[in-house]
Amino acid sequence: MTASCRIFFLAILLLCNACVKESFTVPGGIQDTDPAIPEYSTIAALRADMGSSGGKISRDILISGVVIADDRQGNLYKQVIIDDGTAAMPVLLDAYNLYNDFPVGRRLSIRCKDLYTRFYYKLPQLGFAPDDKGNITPIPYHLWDQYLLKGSHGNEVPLTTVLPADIRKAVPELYNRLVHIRGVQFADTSLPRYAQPAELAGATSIWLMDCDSNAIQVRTSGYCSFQSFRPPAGSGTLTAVYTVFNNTPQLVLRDTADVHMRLPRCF
Amino acid sequence: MGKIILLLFIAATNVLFAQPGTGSMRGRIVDLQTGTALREVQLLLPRIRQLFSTDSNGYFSISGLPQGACTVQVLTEGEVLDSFFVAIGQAPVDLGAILVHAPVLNPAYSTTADIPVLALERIYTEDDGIQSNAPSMLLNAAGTKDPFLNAATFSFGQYNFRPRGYDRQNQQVYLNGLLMNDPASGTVLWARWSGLNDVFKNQSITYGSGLHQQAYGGVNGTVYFDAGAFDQPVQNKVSYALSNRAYNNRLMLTHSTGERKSSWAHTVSLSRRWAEEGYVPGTFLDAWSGFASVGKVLNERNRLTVTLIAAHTVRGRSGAATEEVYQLTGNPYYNPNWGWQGNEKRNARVSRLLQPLVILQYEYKLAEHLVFSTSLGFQTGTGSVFSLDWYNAIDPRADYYRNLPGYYASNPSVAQQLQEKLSGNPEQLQLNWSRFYAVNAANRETLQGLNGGNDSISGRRSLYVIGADEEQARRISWGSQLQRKYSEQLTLSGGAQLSYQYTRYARRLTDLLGGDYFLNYNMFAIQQYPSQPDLHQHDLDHPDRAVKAGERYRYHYAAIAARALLWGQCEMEFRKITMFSSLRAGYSTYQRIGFYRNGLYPSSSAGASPLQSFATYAAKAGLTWKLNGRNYLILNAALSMDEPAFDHVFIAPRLRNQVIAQAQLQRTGHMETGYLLRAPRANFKAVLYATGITNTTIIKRFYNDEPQYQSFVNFVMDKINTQHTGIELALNYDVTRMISWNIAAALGQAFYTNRPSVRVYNDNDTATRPGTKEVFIKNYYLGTGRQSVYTTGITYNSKRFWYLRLNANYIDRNYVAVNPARRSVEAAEFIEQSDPAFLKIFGQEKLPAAFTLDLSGGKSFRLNKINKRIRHSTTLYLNFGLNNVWNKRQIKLIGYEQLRYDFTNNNPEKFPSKYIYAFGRTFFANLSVKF
Repeated sequence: MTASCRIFFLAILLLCNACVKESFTVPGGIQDTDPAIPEYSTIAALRADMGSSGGKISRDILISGVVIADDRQGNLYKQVIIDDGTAAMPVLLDAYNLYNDFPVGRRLSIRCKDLYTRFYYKLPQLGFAPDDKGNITPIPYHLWDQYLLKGSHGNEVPLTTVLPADIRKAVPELYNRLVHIRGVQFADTSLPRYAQPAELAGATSIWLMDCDSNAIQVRTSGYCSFQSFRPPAGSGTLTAVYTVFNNTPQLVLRDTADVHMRLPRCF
Repeated sequence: MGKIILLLFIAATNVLFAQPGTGSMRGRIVDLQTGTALREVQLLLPRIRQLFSTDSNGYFSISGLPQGACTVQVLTEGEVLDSFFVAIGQAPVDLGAILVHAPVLNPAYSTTADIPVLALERIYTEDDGIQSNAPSMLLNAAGTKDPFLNAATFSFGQYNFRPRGYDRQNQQVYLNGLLMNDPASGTVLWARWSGLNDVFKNQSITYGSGLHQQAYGGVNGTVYFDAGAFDQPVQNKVSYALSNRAYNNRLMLTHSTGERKSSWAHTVSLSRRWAEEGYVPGTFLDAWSGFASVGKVLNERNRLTVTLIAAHTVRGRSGAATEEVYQLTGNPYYNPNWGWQGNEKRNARVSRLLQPLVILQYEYKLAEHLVFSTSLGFQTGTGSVFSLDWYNAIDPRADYYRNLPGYYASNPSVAQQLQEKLSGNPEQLQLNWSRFYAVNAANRETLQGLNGGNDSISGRRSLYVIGADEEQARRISWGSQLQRKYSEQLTLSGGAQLSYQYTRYARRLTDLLGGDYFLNYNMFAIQQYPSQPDLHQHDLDHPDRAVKAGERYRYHYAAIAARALLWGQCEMEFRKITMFSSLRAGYSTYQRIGFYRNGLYPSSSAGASPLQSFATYAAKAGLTWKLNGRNYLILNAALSMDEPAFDHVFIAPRLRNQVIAQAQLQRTGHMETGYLLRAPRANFKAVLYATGITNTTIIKRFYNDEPQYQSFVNFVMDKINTQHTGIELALNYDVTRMISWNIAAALGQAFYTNRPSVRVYNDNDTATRPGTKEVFIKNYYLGTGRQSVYTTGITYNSKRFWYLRLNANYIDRNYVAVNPARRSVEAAEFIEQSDPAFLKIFGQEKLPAAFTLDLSGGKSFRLNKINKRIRHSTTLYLNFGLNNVWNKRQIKLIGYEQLRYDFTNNNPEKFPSKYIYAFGRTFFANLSVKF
C-alpha cells in the first residue's frame, strides 16, 4: 500500500467513525405514583382558613385532591377543580388545555404558601397574586413547579348524588363539587344549543328541572366544544360541577357525555 | 417580444457561421519573489473554457487558440494569482517569463477560502422562520481579484452583509452549463453541494450587471461554476479542519486525474462536516457530500462529462428570539428549539436535505473560434424541515410569549417573580420533552367513526408530535451556450435554458412521541366552526383519519414550475473602449395540483389550478473606457421584467388554488458606474450603483393569535417599490513585496419608495373578502443586513511561505425589518403624532454598530523537500482563522419585527422584535496535504 493510499484509508476511517447522535432514549410512560409528602391538610381546612374574603396564604399548607373537572371541552377556562373528599377547590392556572397535564382522575397536590384564595361572586378559588383590580390571577405556567405536584392518574373521582330540590338554593358545602342528579330534564325542549356562540355571549344559562319543577341553572361557555350541540329533550341524569354566582347556584357541565336523558319527559 | 426573439436568432446565426483563424502562445510562470519556476500552476482561458497547466519546469504551450484578445487567468488551488490579456495572432506568441506575485506554496492562496464559507454557513443555518437572504455571492468570492468582493467575503460576510441589499433571486448561478436557480422561487439552494469546496473552485463571477461571457446573469451578477472532471487540477488532497462554528470537524478527500493520455479524466471528492453541538447550544450538523465526475475527450472537437453531486445534510437548527428571552437566559445564543430528553439535548427543528444532481455536459468545438456546449441535468430528492405539532394542547414552544414576564406587564409583582424564577432556571426556557411524552401517554381515548366510516381506534392519542414539512423535488434542466469570436472587435454569444420542476409538498408525521395515533384535524377550524365537522377536515376524501408515523397529513400538493430562457449578447472591443449589450427573453408557468380536498375550501383545494404564465424579458448594456493600461471607467445599465415566485402568486398553496389578483411582473432598472485602477502595486475600485425595483409582490405567512384571527394568515403585499443605491470602494496596496494593505467600504441605502397595499387572508375564514389597506412604509429601510460596512487590514507574506493577516471591521446601519401592518392607520388609531407612543409604533430600530477584529494566517511545507524519501511532490498546508478576536457577543446579526401586532391596545411591545446574535470569538484551523 502506497503512502497516499494509507492517507486516504485513514481519512475514510475517520470519516466513518465520527458520530453525530440522532436517536434518543424514550422517556417512561404514564406517571403512576404520587409525591411522597408526609402530611396533607384538607381542602375543607383551607376553605375554613379563607374566612369571609380569602387572601394570601402565609402558612405552609399542602393540599391534595383528585381532578374532578378539567378544560378538555373548553367549558372551564384556565382552571381545574380538585376534590379531596372533604371539599373541592378550583385551581387557577395560566394556560389553555390544562387537561394535558391535569386530566380528570389525576391526583394533584398543591403547596399553598404564598398563593391566594378569594371568593369569586361567593365561589371559592385558589390562585396567584392579585392584579391591579384585586382579582387573583392564574398561576403562571413557569411557576407551576413551585406550587404543583403532579400525581397518579386514574384515581376515583369523588361524586355526590343530590336532588334538585336540595341544591336549588346555594349549598356552600357543595361548592365546586361534582354532583350527580337524577330525574331531571331541560326545561325548554326547543333549545337549539347549550349556549349562544361566543360572539353573542360569553356564557349562557339554561334551566334544568325535576318533575316537581325544582329548577337550577346550567351555565355553559360560548367557547366550549359542545356549545352548538342541542340539549336532549328527554329526562334522565346529569353530572356537573356545582357552583354559585352570588347566591344563584349554577351547574357547569364537563362534557355532554355527562348528560343522559333518554327517558320520557315527566311533562 | 417577436423582435427580441428575432434578434436573438440573428445573433445565434452569426455565431454559428463565422470562421476566423487560430494561433498559439507559450511562456513560463515564475515566482516573482524567489525567481523559481512554478510547476502545476493552472492557466484558465475563460473564452474557450479550457484549463491548462505548467510542466515541471513551469513552462506551458497552448495552441489552437482563436485569434484576437484572450484573457488568461493564472490559478493555483483554484485561486486566481494573476490575469492578463494576450493578443493571439497568426504568429505564435512567446510570453517569456510571467512573474506572479503570490508564490504557489504560500498558504494564503490555498485554503483561506474556507473561512468565509464557514462564516456564511452559519447564516444559512440559523435563520429559522426568516426568509434566508444570505449573500450567496460571497460564498464564491474567494479566488477573485476583485478587492471589494474579497473584502466582502473575508470581512463582511460573517456579519450578515448582503451586497447592495438585493434578494437572492437577483443572482444567477450556473453549474456545468445549467442554470441552478429554482424555477419556482428564483433562488439557489447552496446546501445541495455544500462541503465540496475542493471541486467548486473553478468559477467565474460577475458582480453587478456587467457582462458574463457564458450567461446573461442577474442584476446582482452571475456565479458560473465549471465543476467537471476536466476543470479540476490534477491532485490528491486530504484536508481536515477543526472549528467551533456550525461544525467542529471537517474532512475532505479529493482525487483528480486531469486529462490522461487515455483521454479520460475523473475526479472524486468526498467530505464530511459534523458537530455534535455547534456554536449555538442544541444545534448539530452531520453533512456528507460526494462528488464524482468522469470526462472523455471523444476527439479534438468533442468531449463529454458526466458529473454526479450529492450532499446529505442533517442539521439541528437554532432560532431567533426576543430580547426578553436573551436577557432572561443571559445567553445571546439562546436557542428555543432544543430541550433535554433524558441526558441528551434534542432539537425539534431539524432539517434534512438530499437532492442529488446529475449533469451530462457535451462540449463541441465547432471551429477553433467557436465553442458550443450543451448540458442536461436531472435532480431528485427530498428536503424536510421537522418541527413540533400539537392539537388542543398547551403551547409547547419554549419561549412562548404568554409564559414570559413581559406578558404580565400589568401585574408587576407576578412579572417580577417570573423574572427571578426564569433567570435562575434558564433551562426552563427549553423544550420539555418528557412532558410531551407524559401527556401523550396519559391521553388514552377511544374514538368511533374514524376514517369516514365505522373504524374505531383505542389508545394513546398524541397531542404533541413531530412532523416534517417535506418537499420532494424532481427537476429536469437543459442548457446550451454558443460563443463566437466574430472578428477582432466583435464577440457574440448566446444560449438557452429550459427547466421543468415538479415538487410535491406535504407534511409527514415522523414521531408520535410515545402516542399511538394523531388525528388529521384542522385545530383552528374546529375553534372557528365547532358545529361544522366537514370544515374540520384537512382531507375531506379521507375524513377523521388517524395518522400514524410515516404518513402524510395536514396538506399535500404539487407545485409545477417551468421556465424557458433565451439570451444573446454582443461584445465589442476597441483599443480604448469595450462595449456589450445583452438581451434575454423568457417564459415561465406555474401550476398547483392539490391532493387533499380541504374542508374549508372543498371546491378550490383539490385538482389542478389554472396555469399561471409570465412572459419575461430583460436587456442590459455596458461600456468600459480604458483611459490607459491601468485606469478604467465603467458604466453598466440594465432593465428587466421578472416573474414573481410561485409562493407569491398562490395565496395559500398549502390549502387552495387561489392566486392573487393580476399577478404582475417585477420591474428592475439598474445603473452602475465606476473607476478601476490596475497598477502593479495598487488595485483600486470605486463603484456607484442605483437600482429601482418596482411592482414586487410578497406573501408572508404566519400564525396570528390576535382575537380577530386566531389562525394562520397570508399577508399579501403587492406593488412594492424599493430603491438600492450606494457606493463601494476597495483598495489593495502592496506596501512592500511582503506587506500589503487593504481597505474596503460599502455605504448603501436600501429602502421602500412607496406605500404598497396589503390584504390579509385568514386561512380559516372562508366568508370574508379581505379589504385592501395602505401601509405607510415609504422611506423605511429594508431589513437587508448591514448597509454600512468598513474594513481595513494588513497582510504579511513571508518569503518562507507563511502569512499573517489582521483585519479591523466596522459595521453599522443594520435596520430591523419592519412589520408593514404596524405602519397602518389602524395601528395607531387615536394616537396623536406628537405622542411618544406614536413614534414607538412607527419608528424603525437600528441595531448597534460594532467594531471587530479578525486574524488569520498559515504556512506551507513542501514535504518532499524536507524528507527525500517522499518521492512525489507533497505539500502540507496549515491555516487558521480567528474571527471576532475580542469575543464581542452582543453584536446583533439579524433583527425583524414580528408580523403580529396588538391592534386592540396599539401596543408594539406585545409582540416584540426578534433577533439573532453574531458569534463571539470563533476559530478555524485547517490542515491539508496535497500530493
